[in-house]
Amino acid sequence: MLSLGTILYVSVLLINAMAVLSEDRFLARIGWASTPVQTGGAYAQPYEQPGYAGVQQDVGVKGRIINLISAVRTLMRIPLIGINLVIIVYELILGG
Amino acid sequence: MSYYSNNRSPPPLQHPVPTHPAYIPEPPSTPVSPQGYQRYTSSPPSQSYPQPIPPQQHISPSYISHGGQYQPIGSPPRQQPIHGQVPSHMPPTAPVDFSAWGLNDATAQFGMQLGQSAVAAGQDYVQKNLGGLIPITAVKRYFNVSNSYVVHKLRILLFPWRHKPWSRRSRRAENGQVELLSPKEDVNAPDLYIPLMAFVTYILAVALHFGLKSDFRPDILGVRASTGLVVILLDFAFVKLGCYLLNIQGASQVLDLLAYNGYKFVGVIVTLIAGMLNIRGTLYLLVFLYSFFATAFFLVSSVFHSHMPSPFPTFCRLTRRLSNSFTSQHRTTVTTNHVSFPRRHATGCLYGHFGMGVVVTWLFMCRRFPRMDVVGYLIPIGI
Repeated sequence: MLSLGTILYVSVLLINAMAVLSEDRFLARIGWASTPVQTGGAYAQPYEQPGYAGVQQDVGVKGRIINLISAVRTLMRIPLIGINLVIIVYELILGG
Repeated sequence: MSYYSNNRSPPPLQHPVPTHPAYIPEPPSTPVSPQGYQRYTSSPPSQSYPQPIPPQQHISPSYISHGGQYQPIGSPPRQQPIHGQVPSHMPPTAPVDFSAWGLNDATAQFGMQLGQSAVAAGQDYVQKNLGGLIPITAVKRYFNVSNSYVVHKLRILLFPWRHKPWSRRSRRAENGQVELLSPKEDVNAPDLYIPLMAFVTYILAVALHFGLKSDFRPDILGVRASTGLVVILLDFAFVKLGCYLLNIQGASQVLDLLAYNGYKFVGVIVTLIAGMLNIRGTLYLLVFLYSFFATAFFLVSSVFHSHMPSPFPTFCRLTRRLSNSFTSQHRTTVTTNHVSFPRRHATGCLYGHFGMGVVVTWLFMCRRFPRMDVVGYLIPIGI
């Protein structure tokens, strides 16, 4: 049956999958690379103030998914090492 | 009990009289009941703590106590304010007289005091470290329910079609902020009492169902509880993900979402009971579909109409965005024939729910005569 342990394993596996995706070999190929920060290129161009307020809403679902994936990759890479270690040790000793 | 086999009248009742009555100052409005049995609440230590407090209380209720001295009904509510203040003003080093319990030994008294200070220290530790995890005051607001609220809410859950005003009422508090009413005053406010009780009742109903099939094992209680928690967690995660992806703000109060998620267990229990009454086939399917749609309608209406203190209703933006996507879709489908639906925002939280429900209903109907435990597992996900 679906239990809390199953959900924990599934979520750890999914986050592992998201962390393992290669930025330039895979995500850039399908156009899901995380875009660089907007203000980086704005020094050479006039800075559009009214356009900036609408960025948040016009990013769209795809943009937010890309942001989510890049945020997960940035934040969870190092804690994932620890979590994976714990689960591996548990499965070795008590997994059966 | 051979005493009472012949036709004598039973001996007179004897109330338990404490052997060493401790000095307990008479609380101002407690009546003196027969044979010295004074208290309506239970334990002596909490009684002796009001020693510092009643001197202040004596002044005001002393006028009331003369009138209310011999009313046994009036005493518990009037004792509540005194005992309500006791836990907050509990001095950790108050001298407690344990002789009322018959513990005259000095060692025993010392032991009891040590235990009490240990308990108080433990409570302080928990409060300091884990007090921030579960905001107790916020949770308390959700348990502020009354009987009439529960009955009314259950009626709305099972028959939501005729309920008229769905919006939550608000009130302007003293500091000028708008706050939403608690469940006791507003039927449309979500509470955590019904979801919690429904969840526990669901586990018990599943256990009963297994018992009726002579298939009961004690571990299914834990397994079902775990499954139910997983369903709630998954629903919560879906809603949060949907709100993030569609940039819906103001909809995310954790306890509110948990409350709405828990309401579906009421429909699950109804379907489960219908299954236990040996309703099979088409009628069972009808009961399942009715509770499915009733819960869905309730959830959609209550979330759609509940206005947060921000100016924009939460799902106004969702519907506006979806309608924008649909109208632009119409323009493109005039020229091209392929459906551009998957590329649009089809992953709102409502649509997630509905999709899951459709998939599970399809799974449910594919099996000719589904086993009851599988149905009991599928229904929470379905709804």
